[in-house]
Amino acid sequence: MKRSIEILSHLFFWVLFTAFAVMLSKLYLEAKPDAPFASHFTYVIFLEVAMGLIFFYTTFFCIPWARKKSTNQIILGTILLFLLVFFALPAIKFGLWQVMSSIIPHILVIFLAYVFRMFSDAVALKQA
Amino acid sequence: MKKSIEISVHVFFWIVFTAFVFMLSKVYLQAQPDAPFGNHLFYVVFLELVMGLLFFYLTFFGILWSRKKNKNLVILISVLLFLVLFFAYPATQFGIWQIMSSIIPHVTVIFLAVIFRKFSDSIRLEQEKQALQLQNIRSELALLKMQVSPHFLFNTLNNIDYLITFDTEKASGSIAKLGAILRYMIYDAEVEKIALSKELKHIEDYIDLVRLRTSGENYLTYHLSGLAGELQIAPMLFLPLIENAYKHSSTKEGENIINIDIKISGQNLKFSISNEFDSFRKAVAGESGLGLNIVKRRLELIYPDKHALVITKDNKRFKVELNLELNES
Repeated sequence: MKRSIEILSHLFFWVLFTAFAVMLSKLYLEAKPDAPFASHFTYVIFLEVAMGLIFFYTTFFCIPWARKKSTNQIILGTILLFLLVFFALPAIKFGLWQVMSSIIPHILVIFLAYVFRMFSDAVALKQA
Repeated sequence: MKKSIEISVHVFFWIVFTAFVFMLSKVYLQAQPDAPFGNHLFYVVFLELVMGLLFFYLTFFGILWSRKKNKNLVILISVLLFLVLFFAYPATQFGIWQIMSSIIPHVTVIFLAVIFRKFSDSIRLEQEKQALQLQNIRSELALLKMQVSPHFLFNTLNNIDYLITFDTEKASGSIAKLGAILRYMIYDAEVEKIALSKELKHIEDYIDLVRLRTSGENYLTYHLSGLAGELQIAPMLFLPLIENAYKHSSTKEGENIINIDIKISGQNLKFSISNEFDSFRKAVAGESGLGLNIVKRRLELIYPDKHALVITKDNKRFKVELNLELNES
């Protein structure tokens, strides 16, 4: 399996991620046209993708580093936890499900980054 | 990595997936409290989960089946495409984003199933790699035994033969030691790890027999400090080094020709061996390399990042120092 397939799978994942964010936001706007983000739709999608990228690639590139020492694992865990709380904090004033709507997708992204890391390792192992 | 980790990853994924669907439905219901599924929230989440499972595992296990024939891959893609359209069809009456809200998640689930398949393959590959490494270690150990045994055996038997005439008691003791060494090599050393105390006893027996082949009280000096306790070690790690030192020592008589020093402190073991050698004597190609190379290879496989092997050589002495971090299991 070539490295190009791995890069393509990442690209495809981010296309799907963006489509997912657009679709969910559109559905939400249909249900609530006066939602605060209605006039900044593209900006909101951009922010979602940017946050997704941060969570994903922080996990993806730091896992090999974290495997070296248990201290590194704790540092990575703390950074991710801090980022989760940091991005969820503004949603506190809107309610529990809004906080969850920030935390759960980001946990999913972190988890998928871990799976993608394994996928990447499989590619490297096959090449070796 | 164990199969249990793979199962845990799947379970965790479906927990997060369910939480994600539930969270989305709740947020949507907050925006539109009179949504048609408002009264059947759990049923809707359950249906989503079932559909997710269907798409995911159809892809996950279908990939294995599709690898057998190209035709199977076409069938799998057709079935998945049909299912995606089939579940999206009822949404056509509501609008484009409702259709997309069925298609995009299902395509995402299919895509993730492909990635999970690769993840699963990576675990299998890693297990195969580990099994192969284990097999290599065993073959190398067998090779090591084959290399050490005949050479050592013939020399020792010759010395015992000589002793029988002059010192029968010593000859009898030597035969017992030879028996213990052979038992250790053939039976005990079959395992991956052995008690350090056993390995040390084996070294001492071996040294006693080496001493039979040399003259001079202190031809070979051996110092051991520290306690082996419950520590475990890969069997026959030091033997090729001792045999090498004897084989390449400049003379078979004299004082301090070979020095062996073993220090155990906590889980750390320092093994040091040095021998005098004749710098004018050219080594026969491959004569000394094999034993040392096997030791290096075994160390890399059994003690990655837990050993340091330093080989130094000056005009008169050849020295090997090995630092090992051992475990109790």
